[in-house]
Amino acid sequence: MNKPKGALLGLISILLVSGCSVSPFSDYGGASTESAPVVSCNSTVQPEQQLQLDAVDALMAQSKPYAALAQLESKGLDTEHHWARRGQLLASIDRLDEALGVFYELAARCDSYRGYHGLGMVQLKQQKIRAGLIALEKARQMAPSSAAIRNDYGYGLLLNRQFKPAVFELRTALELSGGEGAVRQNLAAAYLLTDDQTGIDFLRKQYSYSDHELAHARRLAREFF
Amino acid sequence: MKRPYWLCALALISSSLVLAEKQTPLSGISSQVVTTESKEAGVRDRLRNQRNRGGESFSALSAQSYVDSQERIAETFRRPIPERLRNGTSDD
Repeated sequence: MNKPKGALLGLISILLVSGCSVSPFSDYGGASTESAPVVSCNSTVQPEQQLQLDAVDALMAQSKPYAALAQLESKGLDTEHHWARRGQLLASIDRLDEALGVFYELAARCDSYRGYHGLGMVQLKQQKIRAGLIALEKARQMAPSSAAIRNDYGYGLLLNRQFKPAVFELRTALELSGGEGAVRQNLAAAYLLTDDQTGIDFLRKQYSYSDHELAHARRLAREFF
Repeated sequence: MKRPYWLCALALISSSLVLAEKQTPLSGISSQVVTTESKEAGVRDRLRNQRNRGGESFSALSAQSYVDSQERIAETFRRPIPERLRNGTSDD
């Protein structure tokens, strides 16, 4: 484990000296190249592969991540879509280092927006906020209409105490998602943190925010102080 | 002596309703790199929510018309194919 870390530190030093911008991979301290998964960058899904992916998705929707992983592995991970699901499932069962390895390879080898999204998501979960934001910003550039990416990027900005930019990203995510999901709480917290009463009133009126939801958003906002 | 029992029942029902309403809302990271819900279900839910909120101001196609037509099409697949195609007003 020392050689990869030494190489990584050397790379960071070179980047700092040369004045190059930091890449989404600069804070990656995951698996060595010997144990990195060999992902497929193939994005074309054959009909029989789609059937397998549908079966995996059904298990994921039923909150059965272990069964979904087994289903994925049963016929091989032949496309980028398979590997993205594997990374997400590994992250969901807290095997974060393995998930990080999968998403890193998807991003680095395939230049996949799902790879950058997953990389940033796992890095945020590991409290690597700066690295996570860099990866998520790259994902946002590649897929600006993804509600999940805009939400996660916005949440990362909240963690980094960039409240006003977070409002923009989270408002975009709210509209893209039709007002559903975790973004409801995240945006309410961002409005509270920026003292935006107009925003809170808008959420109440247009998205039927309840007193219970706003009370929870106030508790969430306090976590960012 | 029987009064306390219905009071207890009422208290249990009320507390369960309160607990259901007080479920912690979702927040934080989406954890969704891959969207797993079917595209059709997502579109249908969004159109239904749009209809409930009063609809968009400008639309080439009425959201309600789209939802109704999709439901009618789905219903036709649920009905069995008749053995004989004939006029339903026949006296046979």
